[in-house]
Amino acid sequence: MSEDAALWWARARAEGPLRVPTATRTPAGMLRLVERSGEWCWLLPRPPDDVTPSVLRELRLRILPVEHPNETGRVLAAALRCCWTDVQAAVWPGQPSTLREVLDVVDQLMPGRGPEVLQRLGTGALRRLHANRWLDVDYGAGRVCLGPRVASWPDPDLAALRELCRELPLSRLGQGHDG
Amino acid sequence: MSSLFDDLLQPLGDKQRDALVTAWAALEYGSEPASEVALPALRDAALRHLLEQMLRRTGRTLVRADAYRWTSGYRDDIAAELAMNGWGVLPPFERAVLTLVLIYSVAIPRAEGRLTGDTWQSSHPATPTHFRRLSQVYGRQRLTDAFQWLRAAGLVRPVRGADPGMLGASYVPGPALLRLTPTARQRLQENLILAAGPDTALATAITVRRNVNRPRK
Repeated sequence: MSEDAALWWARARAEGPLRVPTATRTPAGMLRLVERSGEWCWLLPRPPDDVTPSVLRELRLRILPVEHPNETGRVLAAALRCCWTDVQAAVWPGQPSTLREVLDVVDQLMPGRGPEVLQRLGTGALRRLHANRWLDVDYGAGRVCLGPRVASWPDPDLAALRELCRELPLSRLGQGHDG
Repeated sequence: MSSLFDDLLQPLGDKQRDALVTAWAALEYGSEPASEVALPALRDAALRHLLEQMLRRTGRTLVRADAYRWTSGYRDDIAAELAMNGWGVLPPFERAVLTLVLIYSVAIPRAEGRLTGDTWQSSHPATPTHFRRLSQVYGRQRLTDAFQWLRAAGLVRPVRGADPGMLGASYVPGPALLRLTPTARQRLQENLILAAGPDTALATAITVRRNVNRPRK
């Protein structure tokens, strides 16, 4: 088995999903996601049998804790609601949404927090999710897209995520789409 | 099914395959080392050999944490290539903060005989007093951000109440340090000696040995 693949896998472990020119050959065992522009693609490792960290719960083992897990999870769910507009299609790349729309859904999930608290919680969660490539956040343009890591969700988990998306409120700003 | 592991997993029955994949997940995703007691693939020598092969193909290797617990880490040759290319390398400020944690919580207690063994775990926290100068020069927010980054990577672990006189948490090395191979642990120890005492005889000996072992062009 190629040492080249070993280095690609290790690099993806160290840096997260890797953005490379589409001319790059796909290393063994990695998932390739081509961006809309067609010039760049993302490479993600495919674990054996698509096993996810959720298996650790059955073993009562801990994974590295996420800071503010509740808020971070809600912001990811809200972004999913805004960006995964056709839940029968693949989750990635989805459709671009806006920071305002995502935070409006978060506001409905956590009512009564007030705009300042919501902004602070939302900003922290968006930063964490962007850093780990769950989301792609462009603060200058006020745009939120799903990050390549969402494509690592295995098919069996997508059914539950579709259901979750249907139950979440739409943005009240008038640009959401029902799935 | 992932093509990288097919030839290793396909000959196995469902039970063995499940045991192997579960152990792989425990090693690679777990924040702490995994115990042989809970995972048959770590107990069974044949399955453990397969597990090592799976890890090897992804640039990783089995690392023994103690008598019954295992984790995984980067292969030494792969870690060297990652570092040479600057892939996944800690940013300078975060590296400086982690170095201070390692000096105050491990290196000094070890030099004073309060900490024994070849490990980068410690019960002697580095306290806010140790970071005061960094905080004064670079600002409290920059330090807070760095600790947040290091905590998320499992490189430090907060300890409450170690320094009641000062605001802020104290820190010990995090579980990610358990992923270092014996070679990586030794390199880290030597690098700390070079950083903390570059003019000492020990530092000179390390430099000379590294120059001798360096491949000539």
